[in-house]
Amino acid sequence: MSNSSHPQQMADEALALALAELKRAGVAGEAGAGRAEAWKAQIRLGEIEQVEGSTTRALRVTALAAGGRRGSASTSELSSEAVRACTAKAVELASFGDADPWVGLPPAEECGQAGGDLATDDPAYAALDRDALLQSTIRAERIALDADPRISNAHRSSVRASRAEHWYGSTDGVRVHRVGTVFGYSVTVVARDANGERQTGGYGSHARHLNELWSPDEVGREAGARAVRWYGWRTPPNGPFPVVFHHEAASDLLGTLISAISGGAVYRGSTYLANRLGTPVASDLITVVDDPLIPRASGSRPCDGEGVRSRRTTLVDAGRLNSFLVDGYAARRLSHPYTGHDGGATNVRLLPGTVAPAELLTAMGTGLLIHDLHGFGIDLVSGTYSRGVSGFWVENGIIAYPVQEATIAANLNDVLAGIRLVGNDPLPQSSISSPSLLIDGFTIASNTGTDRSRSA
Amino acid sequence: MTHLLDSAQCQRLITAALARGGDYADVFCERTVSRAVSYEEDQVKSASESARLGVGIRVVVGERTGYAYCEDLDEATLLATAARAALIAHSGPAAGSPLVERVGLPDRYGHVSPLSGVPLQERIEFLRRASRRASAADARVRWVSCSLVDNRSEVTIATSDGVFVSDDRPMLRMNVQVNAEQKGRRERGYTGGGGRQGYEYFSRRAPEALADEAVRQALTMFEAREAPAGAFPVVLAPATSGILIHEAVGHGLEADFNRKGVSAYSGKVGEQVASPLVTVIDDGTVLGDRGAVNVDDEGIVPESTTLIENGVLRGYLNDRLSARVMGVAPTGNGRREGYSKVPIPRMRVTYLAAGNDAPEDIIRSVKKGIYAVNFGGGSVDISKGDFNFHVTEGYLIEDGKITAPLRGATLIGNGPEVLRRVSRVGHDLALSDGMWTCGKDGQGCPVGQGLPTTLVDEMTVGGKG
Repeated sequence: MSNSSHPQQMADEALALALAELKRAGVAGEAGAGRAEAWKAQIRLGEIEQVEGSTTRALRVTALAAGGRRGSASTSELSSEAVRACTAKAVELASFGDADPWVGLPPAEECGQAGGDLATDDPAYAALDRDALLQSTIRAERIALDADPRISNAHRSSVRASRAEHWYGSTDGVRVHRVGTVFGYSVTVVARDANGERQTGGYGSHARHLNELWSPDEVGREAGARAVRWYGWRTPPNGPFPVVFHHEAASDLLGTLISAISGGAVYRGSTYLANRLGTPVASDLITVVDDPLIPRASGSRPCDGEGVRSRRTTLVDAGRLNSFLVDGYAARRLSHPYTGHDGGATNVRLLPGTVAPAELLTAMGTGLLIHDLHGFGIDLVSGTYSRGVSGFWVENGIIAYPVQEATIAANLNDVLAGIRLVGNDPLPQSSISSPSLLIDGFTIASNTGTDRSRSA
Repeated sequence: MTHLLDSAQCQRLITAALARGGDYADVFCERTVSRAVSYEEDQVKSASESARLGVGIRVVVGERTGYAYCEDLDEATLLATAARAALIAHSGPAAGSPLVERVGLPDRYGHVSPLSGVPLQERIEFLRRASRRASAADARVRWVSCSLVDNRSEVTIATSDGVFVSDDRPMLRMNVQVNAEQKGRRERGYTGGGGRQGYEYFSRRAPEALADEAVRQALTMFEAREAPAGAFPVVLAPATSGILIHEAVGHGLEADFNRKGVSAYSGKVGEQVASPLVTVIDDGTVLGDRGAVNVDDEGIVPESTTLIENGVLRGYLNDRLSARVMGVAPTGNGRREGYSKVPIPRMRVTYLAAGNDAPEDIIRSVKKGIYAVNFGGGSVDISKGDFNFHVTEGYLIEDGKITAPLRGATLIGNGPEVLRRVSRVGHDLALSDGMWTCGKDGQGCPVGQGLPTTLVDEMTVGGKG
């Protein structure tokens, strides 16, 4: 349901016209143009519930007038008239801006596309067998539904395939192009026990290459297992306890660290790590790398959103904050080396340690193994961190019972410093990924004494 | 009201959409122009404007939906888009009803003058006023970020049951964020406001008032102590605390979850699901609110919907598809982010109706608890009913008095349990100023919420004190 051809101007032609118009108006500037196709379907209880197809495009033009005044405009119409009007609007808006010495284009020597084939564009997309993808999703849902007698309903399973192409150019002559495919599917089923308590279990896989998707059996089994894993849950004791962040929860925590070292937050003073470059910010077991150059990886790209060449960056080196993630503006403003992070992080990895997951529990002794984090209780300015959690209570290194309706709280500074051990388990399939972590310093809270294992 | 597509063209598209059969089809055309200015360090950092135009075409067969959209409005592309949506169906052609233009829509958008009549220079001035006020308020204020966004969304909707209607929707949104520093400790304050209204908004709430509120929040936090850890009574302050209703019950009553039987509230219409003090309303008619709707995105003119009345569940928030499957009338809750998304049941302005208690009596009744005033986001697990929200401004209640401010904390609870534990409801219902966007299925949707002062006997407070 995609690949329709539109009579409109092609995105790269629109980009060229916009840059010519900027030059004609006598201003510097940049433009980005994109074209994307997407196909999505939803499955429920073995039936196709919804199918969507689309082709979209957009142009964004930024005019940089003398003194660093910035105006931008975007349009989904790419006719010559619309492109000219969009460019004229950006130029007009720039005249209202105030002078800002850090506004500008990245120097040419920082720009270009990193060499090597990142293999972000899967040739399998062109010959995609959508029916086979639908059947895989239906099969994964069937396996999840069959995983346990308490699972009898499904919320939604979805499948998608998309391909996005992006062109960028500046009046300095920089021209870059990138393209990427994404395939993915996920399954969500709902269990209900004898008490009528419903629980949801979901799991999915996504990848740039079709043949890297996990099998329907793996996805379905895991979704089914997740739907019933909390039954018999209890609330844990209140107080300070060590916790293990299972790798998906640990990846969520790593994402919080990435937000806290992003250039925009740093120069605004919107993060507790703003003044900490070069100093210890985490346990010395922690090294974090952002690598946009891993072939086939979901976050890989040859350049960032303003044409800065992609490069590997060590963000945290043995606990010491080594680099922020900066776009051009933040780089100039902070006198920080360019890192190519206009558009955010790419493939962030917390480097695995040497400890097997079971040994993390042994080392923890008595505490909470956290699988899921809920809610928005993160304040990067003060470092306050307070989340809802689901997981398992562990006594003497052995899982004792499932836990729901509990919270954990600590200050992020103490959390990162309190990482006692780093696991060696495989990283989850996400662009920001961490192995499991054993962390000291959290306070656990719940309505203690709630016990669903006794009422069944 | 001008139409983005004419009725004859819409009729042709519906015919094409139903070429392979179907129970229902609709055409949704949208043109949105969005204008934004960001202002920091007493400077305009950027001014931008974006325009998008597109048409989404949908075909529904039973509970199955085919959907396609395009960004060109020439006849050939539109017909091809209808044909793609039609692929969901597999029978002979179905017929749509002749389109009849719906005129005389209610006007629930509080704009006297169009947004486009306010030039950039005037918009910058609103930002400058807020920014200068916040910067000058206190030496501890280190950074002020303000932004002002307005957008005008024109839509034309045509449905196979004969509705042909257009709407012209304004939206205004101003944000102020303040970062402050004291002895190396950093705190933030954040507020926003606006709604489906014009720049008259600022005659009711001046930019300076927004600045004062953000500064007040940031400076208050310097006095904060750690929030306690464990189960406590929670008194929710009026207005913004409506997030409790949004998360604890609103989402769980959206009809798509209930026709599928996956919500904690599924199959419970007519049952007592909450304390008798709880009456929950979802209202599309609140003048100028972010959640106000003249006509929903499926061509239905919404009214106020009573979801829970004195604790008894009365019904769900329906879109057309769910209403048809469940055999009830649609409630006008079919909303979509834009032409690229299908409509789904969404909240509008959701609030807990006023009770009889005096707010000060409610606070006085609590020996030790939390008074929650301002909030970050929240979320909910529909099936089990567990929800959370992040209290960014809260206070300790000790012996019936509000005492120390508390550091931010996540509060959690189970929706149905918390609704049974609502033990006092104040007479001071207020609605939040327009700053909330609800996320569901990857679609953002502007909503409103409200609450009178309310006591929940017990929730878990995720502090560490």
